[in-house]
Amino acid sequence: MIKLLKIGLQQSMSMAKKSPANFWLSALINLTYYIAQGMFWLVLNQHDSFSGFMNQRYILFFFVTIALTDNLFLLIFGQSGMELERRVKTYKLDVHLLLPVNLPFYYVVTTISMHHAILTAVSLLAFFFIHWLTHSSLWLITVHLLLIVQGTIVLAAITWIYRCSTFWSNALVNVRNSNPCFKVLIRPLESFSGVVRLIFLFIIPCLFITGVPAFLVAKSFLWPWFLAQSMVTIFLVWLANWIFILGTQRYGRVVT
Amino acid sequence: MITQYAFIETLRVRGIFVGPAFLIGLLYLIELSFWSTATNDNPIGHYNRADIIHYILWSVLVFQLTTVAGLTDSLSEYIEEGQIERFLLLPKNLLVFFLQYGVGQLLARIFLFSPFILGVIFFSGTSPTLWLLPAFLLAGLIINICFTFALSCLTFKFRDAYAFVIIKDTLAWMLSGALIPLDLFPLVFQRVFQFLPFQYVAFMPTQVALGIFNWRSFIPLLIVLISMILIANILWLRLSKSNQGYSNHD
Repeated sequence: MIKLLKIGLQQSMSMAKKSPANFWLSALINLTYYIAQGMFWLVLNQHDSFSGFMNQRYILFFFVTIALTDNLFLLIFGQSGMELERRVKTYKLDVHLLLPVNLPFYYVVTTISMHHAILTAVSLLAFFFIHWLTHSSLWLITVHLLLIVQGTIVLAAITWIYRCSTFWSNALVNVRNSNPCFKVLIRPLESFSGVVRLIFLFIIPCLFITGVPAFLVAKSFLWPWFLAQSMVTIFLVWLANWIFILGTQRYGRVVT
Repeated sequence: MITQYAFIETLRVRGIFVGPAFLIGLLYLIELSFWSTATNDNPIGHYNRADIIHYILWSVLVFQLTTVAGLTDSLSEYIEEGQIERFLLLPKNLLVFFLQYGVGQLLARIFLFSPFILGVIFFSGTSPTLWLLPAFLLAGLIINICFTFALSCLTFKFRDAYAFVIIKDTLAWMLSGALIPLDLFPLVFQRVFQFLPFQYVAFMPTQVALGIFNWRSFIPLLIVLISMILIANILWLRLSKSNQGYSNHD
């Protein structure tokens, strides 16, 4: 495992060095994404209907949660699902199925994307800066980091399940930007109420990616919510692995 | 012929209705819930609750229709990996070929989304300018394809130029009016948007569908449309001369 991780890191470093332009362009792309979101909230906050919806502290915590979660995901997990999808679509998964390693882990460590290292570092700095600015306790900083790590794993697991749908049909992955996570993670928990909130908490649990962490840190920390996020994370990792196994069984039947 | 091929090619994917239906259903769930919860059903700008719901219902559909990825989205990859030769040998202008392909995909999407389109018309009612919507969808699609095409042509000169396409798509998501009506932006921004092609991708067709289209916007649309076609074509003709075959920049 350690050896595989070392090889994966070396490979991703060499990929990043091969194209320095990509290194900066990846940062620019993500920066554009945050500017677009910033504009969205800026425009909304100018209208009275939105006043009181989110205070400034909450917006800061929410933004930094999005930035760090998103960049950690892109750095560690972003490419793995796409690699799987590519291999399934082109019937080139067979070679990897014979490897004596856990395949999802193999894909994750061999597709670490160092291009996103810059913004991950910037997000991490912003994370500590905002906590310093708001005089947060060490306990709150630790819990926030834990929530972000769990949120990143939730995002990775749902995205993996989404990519695994290629084993059955390309209908979902062929539709551009159809990953539900990226639509929900940019909205705070309060954006959803009633049945819709329940759907995004327990059926497609995208609200555990950024919505719940930002709410717990900026508003009120509730242990049951923290534990619920941990349970959802564990369940989703198991589910993602199980769906992948089902997919490979189907792939085996189709290919042979 | 190419349009017909693209139409069939798009529809023959197994379970093709599932993806778009899932996406549209999800977007409606997110956007409608957000606008009604966050605004607490209060008016925002000159939009009251019903107006904003009608706007979102149309803008979500329109954006999905005018931003079909098509072959143009892969142009950068074709150039970078040296697969562009098969297109260079075509006895046809490549932009026209890609546009025809895109139209086929747009028609397939309209066919797939027809239950949603009819549902929205049933819910929102028809407007006096609704009959103009197909023309505006086509214009939005052409502008978007030409924009992507022009940026992809930069791959002949710069490695990883596809990043520009992604940046364009990210900006389009915000500046086209797909996420928020453009007339809710401060006036300064709105003045700048007049000179950008993004508004024709979602905001303008949505206005047409809602019947609040101003005929004075027709001339700028034509100017933008013609300019985008010319820019994309000129860039292709000039930059494709520097094609060096496999992996231009290695």
